[in-house]
Amino acid sequence: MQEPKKKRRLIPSAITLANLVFGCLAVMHALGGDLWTAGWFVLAGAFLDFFDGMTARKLKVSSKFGGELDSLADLITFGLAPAAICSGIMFNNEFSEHLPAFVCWVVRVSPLIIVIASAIRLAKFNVQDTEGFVGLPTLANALFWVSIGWYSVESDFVSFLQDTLDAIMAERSGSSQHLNPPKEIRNWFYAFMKTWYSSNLFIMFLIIVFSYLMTSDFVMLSFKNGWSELKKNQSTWVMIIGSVLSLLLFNERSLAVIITLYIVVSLTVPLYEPIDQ
Amino acid sequence: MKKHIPNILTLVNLLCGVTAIIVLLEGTEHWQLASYLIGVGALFDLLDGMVARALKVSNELGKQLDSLADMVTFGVAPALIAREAITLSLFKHHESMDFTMLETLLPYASFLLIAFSALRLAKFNIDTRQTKDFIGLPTPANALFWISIPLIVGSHFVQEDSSTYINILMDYRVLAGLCLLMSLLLVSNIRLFSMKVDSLSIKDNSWLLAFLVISGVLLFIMRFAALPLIILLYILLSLIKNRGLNEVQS
Repeated sequence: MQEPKKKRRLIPSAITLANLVFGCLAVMHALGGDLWTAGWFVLAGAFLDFFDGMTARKLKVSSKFGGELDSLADLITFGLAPAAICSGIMFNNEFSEHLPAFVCWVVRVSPLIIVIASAIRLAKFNVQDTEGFVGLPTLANALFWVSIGWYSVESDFVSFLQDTLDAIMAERSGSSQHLNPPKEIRNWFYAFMKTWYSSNLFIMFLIIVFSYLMTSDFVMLSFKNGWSELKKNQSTWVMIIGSVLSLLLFNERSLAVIITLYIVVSLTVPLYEPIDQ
Repeated sequence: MKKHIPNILTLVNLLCGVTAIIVLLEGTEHWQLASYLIGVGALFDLLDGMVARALKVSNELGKQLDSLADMVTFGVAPALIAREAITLSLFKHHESMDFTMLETLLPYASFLLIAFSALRLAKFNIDTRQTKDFIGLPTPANALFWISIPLIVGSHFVQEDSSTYINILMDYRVLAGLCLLMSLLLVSNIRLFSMKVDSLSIKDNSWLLAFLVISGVLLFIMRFAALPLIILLYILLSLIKNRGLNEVQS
């Protein structure tokens, strides 16, 4: 009677530990300069993080121990790894701003703010018992930086896939010189992002904004109610349609857009939707 | 403001841990610096608990933050020291770099330490029994063990110039075995006495006093090389002190 339950209890914890190991690998790759691989390790960690809670609920073995372990793994995967990626982005950008050495130093160590803010956010989450998310989830912050990291390192593999896909599309439509609106938009968007993210001062500004959002008391959308919430919430629809559109346009790099959309939608919800108690 | 002071100390501990990790991922050139950083982190870890109790502002948020900081400083950072040490030892033993499959995977044995430190910290957070004694090796003790390695070996490990003690410690098989042993000790049910002092009488603290005196002598004679022996002494003394008590545990 007792034995099978004990064995079942190990499954969610094992998934959490795998998340932790992916987080460590992400940190190691990010600090080694390989932002591309690091990003995928964080993404794999996010995938496992989604599953451990779900498995625990399905197997009815949710425990306080599991929650504690989860937040420890989250600090590494969604706190330390994004900070490492962020530091890698700053390293890739050459310092074009003509600033005093002290300011440059402050800018270079600013990714540490992400670790601190993530730790505070996770600690707060563990002690509060309100429904929904209070403050930007560490996962959203992590995904944002993963995506910016991917902008920072041009991947030959992805641009190869992109070009192949465009060639196929062009062939199907008949002419190769045909105007391709999605590609135009995409190229414009990539160029736009590149100008912004090659400035370390702007990245530091983003770090401060995201860290503030993580430790703030803003209520963010949580999607925990699933389909029932969909029927009455326009905000969720805006999120889904926006995400699908940006996924179609910008592929895997759309994460930054989706996270920005998530923040904007969450923060504007109180403006047009009365809070029902 | 007063209630935030312990939390700020905890965050300093976290920053020490993160900086140690950054230093360690750059190789073994400056790994003594990482050891010192983890040591400073350990001091801040002691300090935040003391300050919180002295100011009477202990709260749940502080405890959570503390275990998160401990995960970075005493979980990930020491494991990276172990990883660097195993890598260094492998390169010294195989100058020609003809590694077998198992040997290339060996540095990742240190990841066991990270996983088991997480299990230890999560277990400690929900355990109500661990007020007087620790059950299982505390993560800072594990960290103290690993930070001694860079301090003993130095930035350039030369096999021929080193003593037998260092050569045994710096063998990759021994290091991987130690990773496994420490991991198991972290989650074991062994009762270890805590450093908290609740009364000033010599009789109540005789074990702690004996431990501190022997450790002091060892440190004086052997310097940093004493640290692994001190951890061993800690485990042995606790085993003798609490003999019979361990079987009562479920």
